[in-house]
Amino acid sequence: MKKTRALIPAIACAATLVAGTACSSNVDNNAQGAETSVANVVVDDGGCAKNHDQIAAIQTKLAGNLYGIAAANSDQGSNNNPNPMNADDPIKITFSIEGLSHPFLVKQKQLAEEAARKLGVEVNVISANDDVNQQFNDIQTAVAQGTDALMMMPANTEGLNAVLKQADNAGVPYFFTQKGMLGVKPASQVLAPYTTEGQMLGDWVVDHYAGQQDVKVAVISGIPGDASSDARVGAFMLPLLRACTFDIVAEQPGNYRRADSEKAAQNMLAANPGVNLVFGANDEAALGAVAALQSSGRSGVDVVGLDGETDMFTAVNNGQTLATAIHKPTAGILVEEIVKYLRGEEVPQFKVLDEDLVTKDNIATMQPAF
Amino acid sequence: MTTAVRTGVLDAQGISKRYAGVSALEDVSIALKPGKIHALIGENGAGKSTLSKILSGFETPDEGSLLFNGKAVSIKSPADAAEHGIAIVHQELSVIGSVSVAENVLVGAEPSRWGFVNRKALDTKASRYLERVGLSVDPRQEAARLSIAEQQLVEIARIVALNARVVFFDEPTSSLPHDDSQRLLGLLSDLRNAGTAVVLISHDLPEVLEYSDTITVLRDGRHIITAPTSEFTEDSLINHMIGRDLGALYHGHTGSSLRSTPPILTVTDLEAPGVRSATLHVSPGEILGIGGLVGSGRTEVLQAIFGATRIASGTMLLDGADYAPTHPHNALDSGVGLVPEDRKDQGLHLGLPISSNIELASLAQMSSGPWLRRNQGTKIVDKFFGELRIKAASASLPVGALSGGNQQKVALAKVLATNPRVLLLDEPTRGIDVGAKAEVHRLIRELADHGMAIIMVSSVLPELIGASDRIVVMRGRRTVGELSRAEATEESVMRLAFQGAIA
Amino acid sequence: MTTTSTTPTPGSSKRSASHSSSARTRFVDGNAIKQLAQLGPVVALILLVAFFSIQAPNFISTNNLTNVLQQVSITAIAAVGATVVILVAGIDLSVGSIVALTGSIAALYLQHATLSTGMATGAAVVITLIAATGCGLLNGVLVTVAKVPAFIATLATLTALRGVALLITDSYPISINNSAFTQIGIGKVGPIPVPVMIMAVTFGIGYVILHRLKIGRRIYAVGGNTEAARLSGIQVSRVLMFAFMFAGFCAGVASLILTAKLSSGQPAGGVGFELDVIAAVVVGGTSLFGGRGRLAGTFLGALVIAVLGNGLTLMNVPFYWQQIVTGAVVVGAVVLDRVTRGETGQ
Repeated sequence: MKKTRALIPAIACAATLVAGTACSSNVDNNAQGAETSVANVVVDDGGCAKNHDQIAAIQTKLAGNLYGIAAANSDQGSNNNPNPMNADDPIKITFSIEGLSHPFLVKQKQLAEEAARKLGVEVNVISANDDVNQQFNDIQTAVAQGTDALMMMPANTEGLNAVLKQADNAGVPYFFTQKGMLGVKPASQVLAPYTTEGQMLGDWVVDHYAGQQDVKVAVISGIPGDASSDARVGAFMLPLLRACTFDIVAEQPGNYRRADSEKAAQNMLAANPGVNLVFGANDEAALGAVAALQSSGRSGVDVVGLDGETDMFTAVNNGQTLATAIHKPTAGILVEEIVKYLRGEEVPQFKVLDEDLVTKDNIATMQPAF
Repeated sequence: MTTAVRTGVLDAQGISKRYAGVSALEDVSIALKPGKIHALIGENGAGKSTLSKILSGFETPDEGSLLFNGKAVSIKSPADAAEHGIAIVHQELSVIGSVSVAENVLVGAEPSRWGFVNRKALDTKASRYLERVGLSVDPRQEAARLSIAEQQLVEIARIVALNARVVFFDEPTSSLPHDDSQRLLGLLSDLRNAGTAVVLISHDLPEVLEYSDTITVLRDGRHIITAPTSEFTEDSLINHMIGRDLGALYHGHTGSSLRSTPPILTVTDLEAPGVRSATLHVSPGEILGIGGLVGSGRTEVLQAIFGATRIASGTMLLDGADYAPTHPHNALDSGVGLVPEDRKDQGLHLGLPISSNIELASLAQMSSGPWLRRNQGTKIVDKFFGELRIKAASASLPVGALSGGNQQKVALAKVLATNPRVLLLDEPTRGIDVGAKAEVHRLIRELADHGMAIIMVSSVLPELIGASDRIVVMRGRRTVGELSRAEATEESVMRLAFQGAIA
Repeated sequence: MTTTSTTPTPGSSKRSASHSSSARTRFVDGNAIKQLAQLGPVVALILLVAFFSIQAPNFISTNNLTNVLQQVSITAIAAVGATVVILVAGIDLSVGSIVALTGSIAALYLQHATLSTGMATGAAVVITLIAATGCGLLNGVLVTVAKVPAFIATLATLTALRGVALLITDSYPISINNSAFTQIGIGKVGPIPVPVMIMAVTFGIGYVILHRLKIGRRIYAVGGNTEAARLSGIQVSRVLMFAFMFAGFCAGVASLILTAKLSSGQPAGGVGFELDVIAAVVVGGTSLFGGRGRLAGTFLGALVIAVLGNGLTLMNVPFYWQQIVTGAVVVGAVVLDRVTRGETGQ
């Protein structure tokens, strides 16, 4: 008897899984709560009919992507603090950062602390150890602590809505640096141009390979399900697909980390011997690909990335990689915006900074982002 | 071989050893001479293994001294013993299955250079020893692949390689078929001929009489006699082993008139792990004792009847109906309960309170559906506290805090709480004091008088004979004979235990 | 010589006065150190609260303390199930993956549900709990039927179930738009947050199971001495199966609260959750060897760890220091457990 009782949950579990799988194909989270209507997307396939469907899919995805929206709306709309603080009130800002396991994140922390020091305000950086629940709890605690303002790099585009509402209710303004969330209204956000930089790099690649046919490209994407990765990869691929002379032969996630990306690169290179170019969704991914190429003794394969970190600069100088973009960390700038806001000045709703492409040609005049 | 003095290569003089106040050896002396096979015999608990443990360094004596070649030595550890060239081959093999045969033979003495083992030299050298013991196997193969008999030979090869002066063999042939036994004993003779002092601990009297040169008999921890083998016969050996005063240790079993009621449990040709063939029956109101040497299969029979092990073949009838338990809870549901041999590891939960222990096997009876009925449990616990006269300040004390005797009573209470019709007892008075022993026996007799059928395994002959209405004896994992109360004497039981014909 | 034998009838024995078999006496005659170990988490908690109320600004405020209780509820609820599994000398490493998977299932369902918000919430709850218990069943089958050691079996399901979660969601978090459902995570009944109430109920259920049901006795018996339990007629496999299924169920409850709180299913979330859960159980005094432990201890253990984290955050101590301190506390608890185990000679 106990056995039949036990079978029922098992069957239910299996049935639920089947139902879930059947439903899962319709999942498209970036489309949730988007400010742009998906139906309004005009598909531009650049005349390349064979890639039309792929281009349409990417464009639809990007239409709902936060970073695309931000780039389109940069410096439009502004916000004012309904309760400005007095000029000499001490300011305490809490910076809830998704984690500290990447040099970029560490740089963000440093810039925020530097900017705070210069302005004479206090910044307390709490790391959420890459866990959304932890970040939720951290923010909840900070609000209870009575922080003056909350700046964040959210660990995920989903999950923090409820606690940000609590922040709203408590009158604590919140801001986003670099990464943001859909469906909430921060006082201001200085976001990274994930789509713009992807597109910039894509355009440069199309130029670089002008005149060649059937260029085979392997893509190492970032963290699965992460909007910034979708933005970079999607925006990069669009120019290539429209040019019609490129063949995207493989795509594997590298989790934005060098070790995982090296593994992904090794697998893709082994499966596709004719690869001409590897695109890493960030410099760590590109460097992982370089390591994979070195260990397999392959030559003649180009590598590009995004971020502009120091190690990547070395690689461009050595000729191991071709190009990257300077991905400016914005924490310092955001601290300035926050102080302005708190003291009663107007701040823009969105701010997206410009970026520079870096290649061997101009590298001498450039500085690494971090 | 010259023997300048009357002492041997290894002597024990006046050895005494006590465990928790109970004397295991009392003033025992023995002289082991080179080039002789010296047999050490006695019944269960006579002190044989204690003595050999002391001589081979696994235990230290409380009193007495050891002499090596006439000089006093202290052997405090097996390493000390090894330094003097003393080795022991246990009943449980110490062959390491996962390494090669050669590595086993030369363990600790591998030919090596600068820490690197010379494989070829290892194999060649090992082969020589394997040849000497007559084992022709590839020295490179994994030792676990060999049969038990072959593994035993590997172990002996190891001993030969050690060039030991004194070697103890603890029951080497008890789990071997006849041919292998003969071969093994032949090897022992070879060792003896090469000058080693061989000590043979064995229950197999014919083997002992055939192969040994000297025999020492121990009884109740005391030395009884040492003499050349030629001066003994099987009967005289048995006499020496048991010749105790049949004083009244277990009395009072006036034996209520054995009603000639039909048996409630009949076991026929039972085959199970550790049991080759068992046939017995017990009636309500009867106490059936099971006798035999250690390793004859007595505990295993009880476990099989209780459903704790899987029955391979044979039949059991309980109250006329087929009885084939596959799990202890089948047995308990049918009214068969077991008080296991080892109360600490099998019978009790030392960390749980007394009340929880007593209730544990009857949880179904003291609950309605899944819900425990606390007062039901309390009633049962109270009842047994009284009946068994368990001495403890409260029933919520952990059982581990009680004395051995009271612990055993709790173990008994647990089974009695299930209201069994057949009660299986495995060494019910082991490790408890005399007073508690008497109480337990009183209780057992009472239970029988009230109609319970009881099967009791005991290694203590007087207890077995005194308490049982009938005795079944086992030898070599088979039931080999039955004795009525009138026929049961220590001698008749021992005879069956040592010599009972295996069909 | 014959011994007179009179069968004493209950109540008439002179002995009955010398003992009290009532279950009322619980703390008398215990080993002193063992009792201290049981009090350990209480003492630790009092010390921590005292320390932080001085050192950490805003620690003692209704707001913060309510937050702490709310934050601890997810771990504590899963720890109820973990306590039962550890009591039978098992272990469940797959808790985090069960939470991720069942949360994703709930979110997926709600995304496509056509019922009213209230009904959909109810259905989501049922589906989640069934799925979670089913995962526990899987663990139980691996351990009892395939005879895989619990550590390895749940390590395997940790990986596999995570994979299923990522598969059915394509690795994306699934947002939830159901206001009734999110109340499970952020709602309040009067001053008491809903998760705290659910936590109280779950502990209540755990208590009933361990102390008022037959199965509870069997759980302690199997964990304390499996062979003796078997020889007492207990079917060990059934007890183990129950333990793992209950642990799955509790993980499901925890998952509901987490998913509601974050208003999204997080297929990649909950990594390392099992370690938080096991730490709570261990700090609370339950022995990893089985057979010894109390639910109250688990709650205290979870609270000690949560208060530690909260206080250190309020003191602006960097996260890595918090991890080091928490690790030290867990080790200290295990050492204390071993010492007391030695004392009682088990």
